[in-house]
Amino acid sequence: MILLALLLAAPAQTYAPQARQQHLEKVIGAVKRSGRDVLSQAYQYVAVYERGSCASSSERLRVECMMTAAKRFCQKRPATEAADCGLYLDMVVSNLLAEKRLVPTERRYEIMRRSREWRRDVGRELDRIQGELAVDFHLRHGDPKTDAQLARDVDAYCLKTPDATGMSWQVCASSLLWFVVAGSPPKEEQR
Amino acid sequence: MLGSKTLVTLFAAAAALLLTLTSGVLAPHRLATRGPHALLLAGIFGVLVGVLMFRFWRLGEASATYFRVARDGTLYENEGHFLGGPLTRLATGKNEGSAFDLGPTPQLFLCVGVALLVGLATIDARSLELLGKFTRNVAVNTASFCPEVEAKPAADDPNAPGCELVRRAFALGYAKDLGDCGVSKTRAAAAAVCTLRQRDEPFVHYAWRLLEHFGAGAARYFEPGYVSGLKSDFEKRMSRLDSINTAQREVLSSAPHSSHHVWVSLPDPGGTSLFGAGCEDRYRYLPHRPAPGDPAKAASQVFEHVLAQLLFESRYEPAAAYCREVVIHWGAPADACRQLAKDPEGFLAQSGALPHVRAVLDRWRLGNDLEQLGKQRSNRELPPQAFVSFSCWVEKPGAPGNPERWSAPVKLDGLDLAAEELTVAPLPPGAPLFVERYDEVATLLTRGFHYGALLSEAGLEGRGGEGLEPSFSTSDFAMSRLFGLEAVDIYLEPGWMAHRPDLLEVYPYQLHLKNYVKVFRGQYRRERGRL
Repeated sequence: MILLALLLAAPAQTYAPQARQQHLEKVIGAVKRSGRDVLSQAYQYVAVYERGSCASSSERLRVECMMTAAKRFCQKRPATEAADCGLYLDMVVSNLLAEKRLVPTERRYEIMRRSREWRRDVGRELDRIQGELAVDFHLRHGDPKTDAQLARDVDAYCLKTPDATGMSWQVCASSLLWFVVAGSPPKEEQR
Repeated sequence: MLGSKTLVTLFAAAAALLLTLTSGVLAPHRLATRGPHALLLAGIFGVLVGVLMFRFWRLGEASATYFRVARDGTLYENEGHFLGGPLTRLATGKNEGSAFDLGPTPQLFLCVGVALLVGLATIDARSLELLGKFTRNVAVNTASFCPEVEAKPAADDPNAPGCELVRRAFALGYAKDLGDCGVSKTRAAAAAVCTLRQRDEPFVHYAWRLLEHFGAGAARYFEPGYVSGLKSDFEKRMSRLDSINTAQREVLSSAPHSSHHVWVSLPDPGGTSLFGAGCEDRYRYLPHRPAPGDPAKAASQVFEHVLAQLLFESRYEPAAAYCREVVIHWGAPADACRQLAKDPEGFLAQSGALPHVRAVLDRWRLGNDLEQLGKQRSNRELPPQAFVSFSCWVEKPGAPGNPERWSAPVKLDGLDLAAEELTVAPLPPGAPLFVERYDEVATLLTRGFHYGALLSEAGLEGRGGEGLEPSFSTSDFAMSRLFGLEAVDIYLEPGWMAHRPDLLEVYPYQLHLKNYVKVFRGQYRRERGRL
């Protein structure tokens, strides 16, 4: 009984290697099932919140607010997408949060100073960085045969990136999924 | 018989032609690169010099002497032997009109031709540029005039609004320089007394001033004590010749500038030790998180990793110390510092540290010695404790949770040094997190090291990540939730995260470790230094 109580009291290891890989596999599946248009739409929806009501100096508040916005987006989607929506939105929200890490404020100012369409140029810079990451990943791991294999490879690769490039696991994983699996959907409405 | 003037002219023309043809000066592509100005100048040079040669050497007149090739033993009257043997030789004699000489016109053309070839070979675009620069320098030699005092721009005004605060901050050491509020170099230079020629000063007046200045300077050499002063200065310097030689030897042999010794009561971590030959390469990039490979040497490997990250890793900012000057004595007795305090010289000699320490102390004394001579500046203001230190790291089972510090004075060669000992509890076996080791090693290396919420980039909410734990018990938005960890600085206090090895694997160490190392190095540099 005591042992059982202790086991129940122990915190769940929700980020154990197997749990991480399973989550990544589910996200890969959900992204593949949803179209680029849906991903683009989801991105634009959450981006509005990120720049508006979710803007905060506290990172924790910002993250929570964007997750709430993502859940709100999912509520508006058809019921058939309910299972996948939360998964691919995890990638979308992570990607939005990762943008400030990939293109730091100083670089963003630099782009803003020299470009009139700075948002488009920041997007290009992001594509360039994520593309470089994807090429490096591809050179190291080759073509994965299954989603499970890809998830394992992404997890293993992204565990090493903090030491090599200073990029956190979540920044690396969401960038790779966005670029490799989703094919970098457009982030702004086509004019 | 050939007149000497004709011979010389023909010889010069042949030589010039031969040289220009062999060196390719007359090649069309070379001539094309010269440009019209260089070619024009070469032409003017040729005509001018050729005509001058013709006039001054009087090439229009018959030669006074001649040369002849003689093929027999007899020479003419008024002839002399010049070159060659008894059968064939070159004879020279006085020309009485019988020798062949070129007429004035061919001579003039030959002279102009030779000069033209010389001009073409030597004058190119660079020569033109140099000539132009020379003429400009001769015409306007601004360096010999006093600079004009420019009108002060508003930004350079030391009494500008806000400068009072900046000056106060500089005086208290909070600012490195005065910036716009300081006296700029140009203004200081303009304000200094200028002894060069004034813009409106007549040349004769300036020349008189120079002469007067020279006279005043020269009078110094005729003063009665000058020679004896020179002699005593020379003798003084000669008496320090050994010191100067030693200083040169130290520079050439890269003698250490500081000597820091750490006696560690842990076994040597093994062949991958960071503190050996080539350690600079190994510490340049270290993993953010210590990952001990051998459980038996885990404690040593973690200590070594943390020490190297704090002092040497140059990923984020320049290293705080040189690994050649930090000596780790592995497998030291637990009472190493107490032995050191009891018998400094004996203990240092026994552990092989004495020569290294003495080399640094000698360098320090030598620096002081040379400073008296005015030969060089040394870091004399550094106390010996800043560049020579003795520390002991003791890991003892049963030690209290908080590290225990013990200090004792150490007297070596008449200098006051100190031995610092830190006793800590060993790491629990298989511990996934080593953040407390960072604080402990930092405390060993700098007295009173402190890393608090105000120094952390995570701010006041970063301690332990209170209230965040439930957020990581669910698996939805698993990637997004991890961004919340960036606001938690586990180097302040790991809190509940210490029990989540799964989260520790994906925690963004690099964000806060960078700041931690920066804060440590700032404090370390205030206490320690190099000669």
